[in-house]
Amino acid sequence: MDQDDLIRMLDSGDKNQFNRALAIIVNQIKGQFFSWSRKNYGLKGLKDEVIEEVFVETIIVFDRKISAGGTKILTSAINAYIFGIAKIKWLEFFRKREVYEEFSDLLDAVLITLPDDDGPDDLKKREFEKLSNALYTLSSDCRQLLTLHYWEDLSYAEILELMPELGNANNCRQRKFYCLDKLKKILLPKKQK
Amino acid sequence: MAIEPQELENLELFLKGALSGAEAKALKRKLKEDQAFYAEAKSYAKLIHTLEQADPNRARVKAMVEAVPVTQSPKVIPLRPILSAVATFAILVVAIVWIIFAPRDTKAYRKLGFPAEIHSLQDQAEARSEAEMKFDKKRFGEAAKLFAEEYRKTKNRDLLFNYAVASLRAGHFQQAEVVFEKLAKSDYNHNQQAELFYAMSLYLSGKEEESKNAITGMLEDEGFRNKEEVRRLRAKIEKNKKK
Repeated sequence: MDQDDLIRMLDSGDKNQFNRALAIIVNQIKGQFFSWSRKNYGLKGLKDEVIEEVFVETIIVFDRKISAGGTKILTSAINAYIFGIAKIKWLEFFRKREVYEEFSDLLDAVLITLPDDDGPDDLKKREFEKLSNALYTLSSDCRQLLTLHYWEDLSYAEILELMPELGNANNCRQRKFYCLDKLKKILLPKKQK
Repeated sequence: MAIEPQELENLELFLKGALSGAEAKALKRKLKEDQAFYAEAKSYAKLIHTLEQADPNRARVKAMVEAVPVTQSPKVIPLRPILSAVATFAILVVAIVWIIFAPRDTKAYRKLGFPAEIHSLQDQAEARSEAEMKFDKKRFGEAAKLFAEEYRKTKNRDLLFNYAVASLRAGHFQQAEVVFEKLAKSDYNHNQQAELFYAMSLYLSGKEEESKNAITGMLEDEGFRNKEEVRRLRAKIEKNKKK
């Protein structure tokens, strides 16, 4: 399938067509991505899981951008555009690795407590469930703001287009902070406060 | 409150690996020095991380990516470096062959650095032009042979002169010497030039004393027109002796 067909499917407005096109792109590019990553970043002793992680992050960004702006945002061929994103994601990965090497317990905070017999997968599942429930206890404005920022990865300028009532970027930032704080209070056990 | 909105903003970027420079340093310092801030940052970090991971679209894309196995791309023979090495080797071989076999003036002539050129006869027959072309290509031996053949046919003394020049350039100094001497003593139009080249061929064939005498003779000869050229040849010879 050539690039024009893929672009047509991505722009079709049909979610199934979009997902099919994305699956084809992933299929076509994954092996190439692994080879390219090994060639360019392999000297740093990378494992396949790490390359997979960066690939997932890259495709997530591609998915978000195309979902939001359509293929008119493409400034080059699809592959080249994805590899452009990947370069940034690799840079971020190495910076992130440094952060977590220096502050190894930064993600060790407890959001929910579980009985002792629940494994790590259950914990993750329960955390997501609890978070979804907590999101729905927030006001619709807060929920929209947090999901646009963390799930759609929109900038404040883009959020303001969808939520003009927030006025400006500074208000947007303050409001996000307030909403996040509310969410934290809902989720975190009282003894942690 | 231990954490401010702007600090939270920076923490988010820091966790994504998107914060660098002075802001990253300041945040790191605060995380290390302020325990209350660290505790607060930790709970926000976990919350933000969980929130990001809970994105349903993320889960969809992740599942799609993970379902695709990594196909090992076939081992590709690195043609580029091999071709590059072969090309370099070929260029090297050609260069060596060219250095060894390319026609050129003899070392003695080049070292002296006094030019000896033929009289062009381009408006005449094809064979002469061919001789001149051979001369231009520095194939002096072949040019001398062609000039000699043509001279035998036409008795044109310019061709004899050219034969002597080509012989000189080919390193056949004694043949050149004999012919230049003959032309110098004749009523040939360019007999003075022949005399100059005669002195030059004497020097090149190792007869330094005779060459010196020939040069002195030309300089003392009041009828010799181009003494400047003679002095130039003498200077070149002197310089060459010092090398």
